[in-house]
Amino acid sequence: MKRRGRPILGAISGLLLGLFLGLDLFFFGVIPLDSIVITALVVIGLVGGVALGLLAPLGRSNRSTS
Amino acid sequence: MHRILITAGLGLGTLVLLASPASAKVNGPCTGTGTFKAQGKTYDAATTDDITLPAKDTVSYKGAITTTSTAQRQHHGEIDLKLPAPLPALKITSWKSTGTVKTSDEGDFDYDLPSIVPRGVKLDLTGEHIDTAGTCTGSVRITIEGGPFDAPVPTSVALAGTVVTAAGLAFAARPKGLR
Repeated sequence: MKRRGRPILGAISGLLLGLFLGLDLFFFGVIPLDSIVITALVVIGLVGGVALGLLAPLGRSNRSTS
Repeated sequence: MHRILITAGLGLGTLVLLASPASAKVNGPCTGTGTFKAQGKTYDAATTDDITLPAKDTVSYKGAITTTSTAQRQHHGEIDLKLPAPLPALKITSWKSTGTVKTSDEGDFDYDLPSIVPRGVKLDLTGEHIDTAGTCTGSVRITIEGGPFDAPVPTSVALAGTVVTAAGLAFAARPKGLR
């Protein structure tokens, strides 16, 4: 059986990462505050975080973990 | 599964927080002008939008409301600067009277924006005056002079938040029990 990561932590981290990336882009004048890009980053962060938490691709070796 | 739904609800709440602000507009029987002394420019509330202002200055303001009433009136109002979520709006000034016949006011107002207000980005400055004679509302899109590191607090928090949450995401993407 494959080992899973932490999807809940991934969802929260991804969502907040999207929000903070949006704020970085805003503070550096790349996008306006009402840009759809911020919303998109939050959604992508949430979905991507859940996916990364479920797949847990980091730190896997080629050896079987079953 | 219910934990994932809670997380999805958190995401939806964040989207609501990031909802677009209203576009610039002035409504109601009011007029107002302000001269920024250090900047040397005068702005009219009815015609101004998308302007750059200094972080600190003295404003010579004039405001008036059109009414034919000579009776005592009550009024209150305030001016707020909207900041990025989750920061609350910054109250620039407010006023109130429980009985007056005055229909205009003028004077000087000093302001010095705190370092939490981001520089070099577009923000919404909103105002309202609620009077027995009528209600006035308006908003102006402004940019405070300077760049991201002239207001280090919000920039530092955003950059630090990016690093911490990226680390959290990397940790979440490792299999449980992996050293």
